[in-house]
Amino acid sequence: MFKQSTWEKTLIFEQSKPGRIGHQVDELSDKEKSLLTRAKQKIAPHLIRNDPLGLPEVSELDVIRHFTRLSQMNYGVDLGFYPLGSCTMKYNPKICDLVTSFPETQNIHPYQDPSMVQGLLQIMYELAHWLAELSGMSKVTLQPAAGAHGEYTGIMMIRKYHESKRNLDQKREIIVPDSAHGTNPATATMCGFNTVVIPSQEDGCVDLKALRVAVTEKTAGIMLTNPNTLGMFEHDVEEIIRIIHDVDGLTYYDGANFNAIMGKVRPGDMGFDIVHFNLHKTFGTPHGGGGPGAGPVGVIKRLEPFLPVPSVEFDPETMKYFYQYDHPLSIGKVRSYFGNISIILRAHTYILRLGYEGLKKVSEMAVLNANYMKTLCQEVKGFSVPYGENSFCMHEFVLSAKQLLKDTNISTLDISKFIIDQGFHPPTVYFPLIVPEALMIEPTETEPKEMLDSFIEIIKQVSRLAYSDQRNQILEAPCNTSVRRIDDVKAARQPILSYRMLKQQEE
Amino acid sequence: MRSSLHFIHPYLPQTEAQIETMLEIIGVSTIDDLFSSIPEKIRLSKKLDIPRSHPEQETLFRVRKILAKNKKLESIPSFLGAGIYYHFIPTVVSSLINRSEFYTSYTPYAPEISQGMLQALWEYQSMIAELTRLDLVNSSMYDMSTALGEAALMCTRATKKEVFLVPAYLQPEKFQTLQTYTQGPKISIKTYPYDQNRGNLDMNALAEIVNSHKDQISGIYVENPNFWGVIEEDVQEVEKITHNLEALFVVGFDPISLGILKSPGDYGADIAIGEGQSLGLPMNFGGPLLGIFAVKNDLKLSRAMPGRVIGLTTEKKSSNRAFTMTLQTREQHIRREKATSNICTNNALCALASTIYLSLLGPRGLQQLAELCMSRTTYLVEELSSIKGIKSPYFSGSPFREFVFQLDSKFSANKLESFFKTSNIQGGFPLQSYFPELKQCYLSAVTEMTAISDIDQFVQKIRGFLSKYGGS
Repeated sequence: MFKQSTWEKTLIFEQSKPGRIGHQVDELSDKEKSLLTRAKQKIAPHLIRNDPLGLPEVSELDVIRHFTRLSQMNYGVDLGFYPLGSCTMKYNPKICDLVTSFPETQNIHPYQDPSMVQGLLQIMYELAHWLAELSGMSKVTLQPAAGAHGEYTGIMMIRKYHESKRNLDQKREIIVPDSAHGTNPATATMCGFNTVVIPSQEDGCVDLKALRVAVTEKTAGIMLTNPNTLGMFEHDVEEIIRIIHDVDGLTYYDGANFNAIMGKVRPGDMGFDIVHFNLHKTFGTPHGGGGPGAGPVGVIKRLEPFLPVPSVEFDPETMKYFYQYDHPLSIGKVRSYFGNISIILRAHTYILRLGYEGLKKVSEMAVLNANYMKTLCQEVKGFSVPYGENSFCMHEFVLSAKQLLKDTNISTLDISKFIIDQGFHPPTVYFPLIVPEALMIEPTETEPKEMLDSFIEIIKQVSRLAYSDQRNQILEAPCNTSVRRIDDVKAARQPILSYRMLKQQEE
Repeated sequence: MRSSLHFIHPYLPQTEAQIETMLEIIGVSTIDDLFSSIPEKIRLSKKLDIPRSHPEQETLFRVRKILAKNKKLESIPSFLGAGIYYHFIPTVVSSLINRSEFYTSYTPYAPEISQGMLQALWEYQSMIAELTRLDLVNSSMYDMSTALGEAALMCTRATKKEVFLVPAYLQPEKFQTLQTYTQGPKISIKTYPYDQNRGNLDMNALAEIVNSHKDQISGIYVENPNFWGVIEEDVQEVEKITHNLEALFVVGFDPISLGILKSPGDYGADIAIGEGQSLGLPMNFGGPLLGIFAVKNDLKLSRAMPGRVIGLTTEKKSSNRAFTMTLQTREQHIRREKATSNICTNNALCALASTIYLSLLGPRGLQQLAELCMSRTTYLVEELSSIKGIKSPYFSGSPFREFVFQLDSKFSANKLESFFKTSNIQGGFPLQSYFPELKQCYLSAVTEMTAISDIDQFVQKIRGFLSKYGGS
């Protein structure tokens, strides 16, 4: 039975005892002291700190206990099933962590001479090539730090493309389906475009009629997730792309759901011009409690000139890898240096471990698992799959508890709290926005049938309880976690966002 | 599309028998039937150039062999900085962030089961608030460059004005990132120059630029210490000018320097940004990093702020403490095209590492570390100044842990650089290609990882080189 550790929520600041230290920094020698005195004399006194920083003073063991206890009040993939739709919470192989712990990765400065970093450049070159192969793109940059950052890179290239054709004044709009992730429209805005939202048709896919109405000479491009967030493959994808290309728009493939299609179909073969990948989803790198991830971006041949600088190239004559900064049409840089190298290295190792055949099976098993769960979940009383009830889903599906809410007044939020109490992470809830009482379920390929069965059993249990006189068991959940339901309204109305604010409030 | 059911792998647990059962329940006969919604024409038929599956032992061997081609800094003397610094990382940091309850978790969308990460990130916000003396901190951005880009966008959102002033002497990659970020919303970046002698901001020149753009200025950015490693003396004057314009005062800071220098909030910053890599993160070839973003406690500013924020609250039915993500109505998953940023995945684990690091060091440790860096930097500055043919420091302003030196034009910079290369020394970051006025100038950093004896050896080598080969 699941019961999360519940430790006192003492803040590290509240454990502070003046005079205690958690790490010994070298004492200054007499020589260093006199150097310091001389240096400080040159600084205007009003710039020098005259009161100590309010950081906690704790011992090494205090720090270890505090954060170890916090870790026990947190839930990761290593503890259990994490069917968080759209996030691809698969197992994160340990060998991928190991390779990032070597000093040959960690103790490398980005401005070391390229001759000293040939190993890392090779890793980057190989990974970029493999991602290009998998997606059917011509060239890949590894610079973007996350999925949304990859979207940003891609849409900035669309901007630059129209600018290079002196067409940017006219090309003002990016088309986004109503089922899209929030990052898509937010990215379009950051890149200076207006978002045009198009509705989904009954089967959850893009409504071609609506698309044709929306597309005009103002269309700069489209952002499409395929399979989309409903887990449906956009069967009209070729026609969608033709419609956009006809007005010289570019087509952007949001790779959030790439885990569904590896070795099966490639965005490049669908006709897409730009693709981003989430290494922290598809390629097994850990999510780190929110990040860091990595969001490489691939493009077709004619868009290569717009990629960020530098690119990593290989000279077959000298057998050396090198940076190429000479890309006059480049969008420039989207961040400092070359990319999140410890994530890039993990993804490289992950691809080596699985190989081409393995990656293909990853997608097959992800899709099998999702369809198995969909088949059994949609039969449960109170639940349905509004989009794609009679067809197959890809790697995820969106369950709706609309009927359950209507019949029993038990909401998706309540269900998610009950799921937590059984020792599982809940699915993504209330997304996509077009499904009422949505539970977006993505089991991933790394879970065995037994695990899927126990989750399906919980959905059945929810239904049984909701329609019985024991519905309180759901409404009172969670009881097995380190806290019970949380007062979000208070958190937003009287924000306490730091210890400084807490002290001010207590005064 | 031949399926690969015969392929057995430790990450893929479904047995063949289970697969059969599952297909039967779904009501299909093969896996490929599940992919039938993909039009036949576009399905993949050719073999891709991707390696075969490598067993774990072979993978490890292959990757180690590739990585062995790198030269790690612990084996060579290095004075490289320019944004990324080689500091010691206490063992406790990696031992705690490697707890998989933390690193295999997602963004804490389900707060009841994610209190550990939520509290740790709240404590991160709290520690950065103590460092900056600003109350509102987001729970991380990708790096300092993107934090600067986001700060420029935020200034325009908050003031409805469109000219953002930055020093002409920014780290080049940071400047390039800022240029990219400000293109979409059409923010105009104007630069102000530095005093060629002192190496810090030129107040007269800044005043002139301010005068020519008066009503359009959304924010003024000052970095302290600046890219030359020099401590900016006139931050309070810039604060006055900025606030007279009703613009926002944005300060870029080096967290380690706050062991000695006053905090951005002490001299009136509205937004403070920083690079958190020095706080317990390996250099990692420049990523992942930690973009620090802090804001003054002001309702208008809090609404314009980018990124995730964790709040302290209580359980619904008790006064027990609880943490949760809050102020989410600014964010992309709710506000979509009206969001303050598109950021979703951030660098939470890096924020956790810095929280652990700052807990370990405490106020005393951070001060000692800052003092150690500053005294050893001063030592290198002074030792180099004793060499004929080197101007050290190039700028007269006070350095913190980084400074500029110049090789006299009598000597060849190319020869010095190839000498560094052949003797495996990373002597410094060459500035001339980005800043042509700084002929034969190098930016060098010193941290606690460089002992006084390392500095002596380095200086001796340069001295030897100059006397032997250097003459023109």
